[in-house]
Amino acid sequence: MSEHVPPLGSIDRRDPTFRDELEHARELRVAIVEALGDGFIRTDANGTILEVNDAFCRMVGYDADDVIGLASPHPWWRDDEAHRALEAALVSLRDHAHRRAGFEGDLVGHDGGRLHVAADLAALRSSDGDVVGFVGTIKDVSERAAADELAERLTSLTEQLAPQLREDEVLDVILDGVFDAVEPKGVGLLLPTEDGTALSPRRHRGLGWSEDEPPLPLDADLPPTRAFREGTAFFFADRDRMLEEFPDVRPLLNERDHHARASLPLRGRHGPTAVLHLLFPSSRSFTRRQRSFLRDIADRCGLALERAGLYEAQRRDAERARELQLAFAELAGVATPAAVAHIVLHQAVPALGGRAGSISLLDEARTELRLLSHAGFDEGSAGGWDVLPIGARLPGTDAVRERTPIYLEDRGSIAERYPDQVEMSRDAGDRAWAALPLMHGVQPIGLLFVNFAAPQPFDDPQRLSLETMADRAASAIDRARKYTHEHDVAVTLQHSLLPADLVSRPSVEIATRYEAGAEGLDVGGDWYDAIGLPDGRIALTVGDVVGRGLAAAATMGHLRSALRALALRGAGPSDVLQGLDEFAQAASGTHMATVAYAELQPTTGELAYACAGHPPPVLLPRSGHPRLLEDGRSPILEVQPGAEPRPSATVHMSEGDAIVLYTDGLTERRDEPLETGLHRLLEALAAAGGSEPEAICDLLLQRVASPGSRVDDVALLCARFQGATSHVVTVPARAEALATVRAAVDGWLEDLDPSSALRDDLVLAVSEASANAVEHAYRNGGAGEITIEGTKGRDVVLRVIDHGSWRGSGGDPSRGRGMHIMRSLVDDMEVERRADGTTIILRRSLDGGGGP
Amino acid sequence: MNLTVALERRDPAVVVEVAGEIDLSNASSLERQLLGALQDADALVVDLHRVAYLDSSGLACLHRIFLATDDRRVPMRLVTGGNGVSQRLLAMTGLDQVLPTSVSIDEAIRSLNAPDR
Repeated sequence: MSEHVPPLGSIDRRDPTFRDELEHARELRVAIVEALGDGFIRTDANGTILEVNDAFCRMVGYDADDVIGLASPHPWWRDDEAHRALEAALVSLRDHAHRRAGFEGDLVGHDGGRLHVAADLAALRSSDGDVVGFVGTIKDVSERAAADELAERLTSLTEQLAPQLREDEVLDVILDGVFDAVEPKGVGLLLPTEDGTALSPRRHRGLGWSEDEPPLPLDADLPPTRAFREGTAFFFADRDRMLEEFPDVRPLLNERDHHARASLPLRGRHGPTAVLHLLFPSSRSFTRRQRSFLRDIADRCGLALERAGLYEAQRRDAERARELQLAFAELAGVATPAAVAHIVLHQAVPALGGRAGSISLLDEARTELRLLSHAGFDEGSAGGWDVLPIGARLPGTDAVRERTPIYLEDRGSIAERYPDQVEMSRDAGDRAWAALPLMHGVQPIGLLFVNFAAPQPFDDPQRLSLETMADRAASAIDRARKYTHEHDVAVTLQHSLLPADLVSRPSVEIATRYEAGAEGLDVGGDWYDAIGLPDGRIALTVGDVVGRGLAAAATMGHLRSALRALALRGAGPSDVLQGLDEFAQAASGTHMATVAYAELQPTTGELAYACAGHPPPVLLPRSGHPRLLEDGRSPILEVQPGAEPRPSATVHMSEGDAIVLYTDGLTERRDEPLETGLHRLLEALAAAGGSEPEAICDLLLQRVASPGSRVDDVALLCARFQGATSHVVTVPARAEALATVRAAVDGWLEDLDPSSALRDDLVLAVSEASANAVEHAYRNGGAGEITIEGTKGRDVVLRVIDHGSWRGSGGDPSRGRGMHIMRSLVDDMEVERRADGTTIILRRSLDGGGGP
Repeated sequence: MNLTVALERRDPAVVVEVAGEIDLSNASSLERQLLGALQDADALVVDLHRVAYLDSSGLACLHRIFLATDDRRVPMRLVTGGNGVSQRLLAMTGLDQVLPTSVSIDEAIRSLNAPDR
């Protein structure tokens, strides 16, 4: 073939063994060169062709004889770009002593057809380094170029775009890409159905398949199904070849259909994920290279599809994780176990793929699980879960008893562990169960049971999610229970800090409210109080210690006590507030407080009031518009202790007028100016003049600070002036004094029509009440006094005040009769037990005319 | 206290006239006097028409006297004589259904002499 043999090292060429070896090497070389799928070419240093192989001749379309001896430039490098690339490669070999150089370019064949090739060149050098020739291999890369282009598209797709892409979009790209790279007549992509029993054509073009081509049962003996089952590719040069191997296809084929076909599995990490089905324009044979090209394409598509699937799963997981996080976040704000259950069952369970779920709680004796809530079940199908004895052999009870989750992946595992439950799972449409104990520390408190409509892998990540959910649910339920308990404690504590014994005088009717705000479990620092002063005046007050919690409540308690003591000094509102300043200073009070304080003189209706940093009281006339009492204002307590006297103001109240004291929780809302709340307050009271104080309180809590809008605590006091009060008589608590009482009451009532029974009735009622008082006094060893006070307004109110202690009417029928008589004679009778005695309040309306 | 009690025999009864105010201060004294009058009476008439005031203690006293007469099978009549105070109170407490009442002393004596008694 050639006289120029490349040097083979320092071998003695005259050695006969060498000659044999040499011959052998030549033969070997020729065999290798011919066996190469690639073209081979050898030239001398000037580029004159010395040797080519058959593959090269096929590529360029010349015979070997026409080519040997051909000088450079060779006719097949007619493409300018390819020619330049060749020249550059040769220069780099010759002048830069590079061992190898390569380029890609179009090779133009004898017939003018183009072939995209990759050339790999090497320089042959003599022992002293001179270039004596070149060798090159030429690879037909036209198919590979198409495959690479597809691969590049798929790679960029899956690596850069897939995080945003859905599986469907990737399928579209694969379909287009395969069309471009392979140029078939038709392409189809078949993916397994959800239950894994069939292959469903998800994308197809040019195959003549209908729009909603039915799925191919996976066990059918057809090329795509077998390709999927076995993970191998099938190539058919024509119709007959296919029918040889797949006779079942015959009914599906057109008689004149002789096209070549290929069915290739798209492989994922765990086996085939889809099948790529190709229909070619005509019958054709598939070379090994073409087969491998198609397999390559299929592999790349498989990779892309799997990535897209993974991304989609990841996205789905992320979405579920987000839903779970939302649900968990919501749990934090929930106050009852039932509300926790609702969120868990309606949000978290579906986010984790559950079709239904239930939460049951262990009873206190830990003997049974009681259903708290369920979701997702058909009507009535959760009924069996109302109560489960803890000893029952069921997944739920077992999980709670054993304090460990029980996972049943499918009906098989249900049947294996709980044979009697299989039927139930089938009836319910369940295919998997997760029974998750709700644990508080090491103690189970209940059960979260999740029902799945499909078999579940229950792999580690899934278990982690489910157990996290159970964990969150358990602690939220525990917290909700504590909240409920703590809230009760807070409410009880709060009420224990408020006065139990408000003063009660005929001249004033008082109603109070304390409503806890929507936030928190802490006790608040608001208070109200009504105190009877020794001279007959009535002190009314509402205050607010800034802040919440026990410290604020304690400060409140102290201030309230101090205020009582200060009020009893009787020196009026300014003195009381200044005293409070001093008290607050002396006490290590870190809490600031505001107070509204008023004193009503019941004989005249004069109201003296003062506010220390507190919202203004409202005067609500019996008829007329409510107005804010904005005088007598001074700063919040303790802010400028002792600096200036605290001012007070007075206003006159007529019979039926009311005053409303309140803390800012009634009027203030976070997102609005103070004035808006005050305006709302006045508006609500506009038509309330003359109403009962109890009704006014209800109205305000409903209209001004409804439970929904209420943020802070509200302390509220409403006092209505019932008319001037007189002292009627004070007598020793002795039976002999009863006639004096009667005479005094009769005298006090002298302006009433003497012909009406009203006067006699009231005299009799007061006398009976006084007789009661005398008896108590006797029971307590005598002594003491009885005081009668009276108020004449729309009602006549008489109060019989003694200092004995009642023990009920006991078995004495005459006392019972006395009570009965009193009740019969008045519209309303109240027995008020004070610490130091008893007051009977008798009320009779003057409007009603006749008596009972 | 300003309460007066006068006894008068009008066969077959002893008539006790009570005048003034009856209350806790004198009810037990009245009760003792009425029990005394009952000792040698075949019938008892309590005349309340001059009573200006009567309270639950007085009512209790009258009720106990009635029970005592009933024990001794001595008939008893209360005479309210149109006295608003006592009549109203008896009605209010339902004692008018228990204690036999008459409008006047004459009517009381007549009813005590009646053959159906």
